[in-house]
Amino acid sequence: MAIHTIRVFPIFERIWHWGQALSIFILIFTGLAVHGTHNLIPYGLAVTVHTIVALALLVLWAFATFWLLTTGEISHFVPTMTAQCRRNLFSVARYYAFGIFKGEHHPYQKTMLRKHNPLQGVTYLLLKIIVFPAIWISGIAYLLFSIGLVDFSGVISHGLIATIHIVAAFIIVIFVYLHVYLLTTGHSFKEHLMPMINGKDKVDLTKEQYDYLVSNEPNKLNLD
Amino acid sequence: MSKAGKPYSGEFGFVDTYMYWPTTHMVASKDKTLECEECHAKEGRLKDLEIPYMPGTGKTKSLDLLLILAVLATLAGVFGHAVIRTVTGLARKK
Repeated sequence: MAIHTIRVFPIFERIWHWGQALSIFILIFTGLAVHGTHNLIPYGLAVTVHTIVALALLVLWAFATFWLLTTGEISHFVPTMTAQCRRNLFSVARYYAFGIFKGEHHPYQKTMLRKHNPLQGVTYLLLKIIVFPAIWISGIAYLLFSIGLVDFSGVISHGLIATIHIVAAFIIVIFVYLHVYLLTTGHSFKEHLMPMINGKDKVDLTKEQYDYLVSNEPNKLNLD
Repeated sequence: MSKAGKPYSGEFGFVDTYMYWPTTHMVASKDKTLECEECHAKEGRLKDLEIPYMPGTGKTKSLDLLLILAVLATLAGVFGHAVIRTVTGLARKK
């Protein structure tokens, strides 16, 4: 195994990430206006922007899902339940809880098959299969209900749909705080940020993986 | 009038009358329409109605409090973590 700088995040993944980040900031801001937490923009404008940006994000997610499935990149988000993986997850959690205060190094090194550390992997998976579906399904249900297309009364109340939407939104807010905070750990904020801008990061490659990249995807290699 | 048994002076004329027709089906003109905020507000027009959920009315107080506490707890955790990191980091450098 040897450390190489390779293209970890392809251009589509970076556009997806930043498009999603921008959408989430706009949705949180307008969502809080609709909920009545602040009056910084007119109510009608907040509703319009919230709806349009949410629908745009759903389109982006449709593209992202297609991309994840067709490129096989989804494997980075599928958990492997081996004992080694559980140990890796534990060691990363232990690092953030204790080791980081003792000046230890982060116990995880990116590999070609896992570009997220185990804690990231679990977090993104839970977002993808629980929090994001909760917010977009409740959001679409709310929208259909509001324009009178579907009547869910008898199945689920309007208030409960809204509550699911609001709780999921706050979980996303908490995720954003933690996500940005964790960028400040390690060597520097910039070091964590750059891979999502230029796509490059240090990855531990086996001899076979290196040879594979040399012969099949040389444009991903030697980006130092 | 004699049939109705009422007194009659014998004089007659026209009076001004008014008639109100709801030609716009009682829809207010553009400059008099309601703004969203007139209902979607803490002291909105529908504040006395028993509506299960209406955004912008601030009626989900206990849920809001719980969620704000969750966010504040996260911020406190992050801040505390950062402080311990900084302090232990400085201690190591000495």
